[in-house]
Amino acid sequence: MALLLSILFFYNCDAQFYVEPIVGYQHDLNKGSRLQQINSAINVSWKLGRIFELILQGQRSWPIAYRQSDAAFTTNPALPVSADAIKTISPSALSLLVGQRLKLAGRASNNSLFFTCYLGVSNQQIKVDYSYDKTNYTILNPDKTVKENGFYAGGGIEYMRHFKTGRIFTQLLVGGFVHEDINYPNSFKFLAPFSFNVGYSVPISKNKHDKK
Amino acid sequence: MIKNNNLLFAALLFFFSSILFSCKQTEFYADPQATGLGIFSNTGNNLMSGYIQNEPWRTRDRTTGGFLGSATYELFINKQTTSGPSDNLIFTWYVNPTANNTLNGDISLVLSVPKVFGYKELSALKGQRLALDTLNGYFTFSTPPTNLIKGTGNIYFHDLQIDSVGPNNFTGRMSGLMDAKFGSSLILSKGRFDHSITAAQIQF
Repeated sequence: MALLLSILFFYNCDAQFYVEPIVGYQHDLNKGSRLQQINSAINVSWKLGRIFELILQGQRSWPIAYRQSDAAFTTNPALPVSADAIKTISPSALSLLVGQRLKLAGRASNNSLFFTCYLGVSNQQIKVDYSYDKTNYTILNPDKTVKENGFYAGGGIEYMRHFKTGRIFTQLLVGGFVHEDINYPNSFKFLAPFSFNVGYSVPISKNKHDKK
Repeated sequence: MIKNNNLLFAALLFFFSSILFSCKQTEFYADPQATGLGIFSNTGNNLMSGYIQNEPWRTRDRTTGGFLGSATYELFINKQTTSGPSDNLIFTWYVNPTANNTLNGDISLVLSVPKVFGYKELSALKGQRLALDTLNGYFTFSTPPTNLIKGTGNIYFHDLQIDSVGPNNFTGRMSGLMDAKFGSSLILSKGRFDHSITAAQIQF
């Protein structure tokens, strides 16, 4: 993949390219899930035509810790039969993705609408920590930390505003993670994130295609 | 036509496989908090596990019967008639043997119940935590051929539900925690159990 991108880059070394820092927020679309993340990414984008851009993205999702109560029980007659166990779930991800922008509208204005999609490899982790009396109590149906490598794909709509010094854009994206089955009955799944991101596109070189 | 033949072949293969070979019906999910033990669950994993002398002990797998063998169960519940005013209700968990012979024993829970106690009354144990001091009930650890050690302990029935599905037919589920001390030194700790229950396992 890196080789392919290198070839594309050198083949199109006169192409306009941009460096794009991105930040955002994402929420899990799995049913009943309340998992959330702060999203950050850095794109390198090549403008290969009037309506098409190729993107290489390094992406990191930072956990927003989600706290929940699970039930723990004991046989010890000197203690209450049940107690709360505070569970903290922290989902994070690290991905290397290849993507594209396809301009849907706005060829002749400073405002453009793109279809954007990404595909690549990802390492995802959902960390689980429990806080309870571990000596005397046992948790019913405990969750455990999972970490998997797999493939990530996502796509959505992107609005972009052009300025003289660069481009500002917002994205609404939906994604999914494909991985090997986990043989454990956790109460959660890996995230299918719905994300809202904001980014700024810094032009690195000028060329013949740089006409919005 | 070819597609139909393939489907028929697949159905026949499944049917004869089911008859010939038994299937495992026990799920072991390792507890991240207790090395070597299954998790404490209430989802019908058909397993009891715990530490005996700090070594993991677990029940044998439940399997469906097949042409090549009969069904095996990890748990049986029966009632023992006595000459006294009450009978004994006995839960027996059968060991999955290991190389450590000191662990290769079956664990039983013996509770005193009225003579009229029937299987439907098992549901009354749901939510009960019992401290057994040998007067109201006791545990046993039995190793072949006849060595049986009595013990005291505690058991908590998180769930025990028997649901009728027809005349003299029922299904159920049972989950909970236990600990025990057999004799003067054999200790069961962090015991947890989770079973679906069939009519074949309740023998009264």
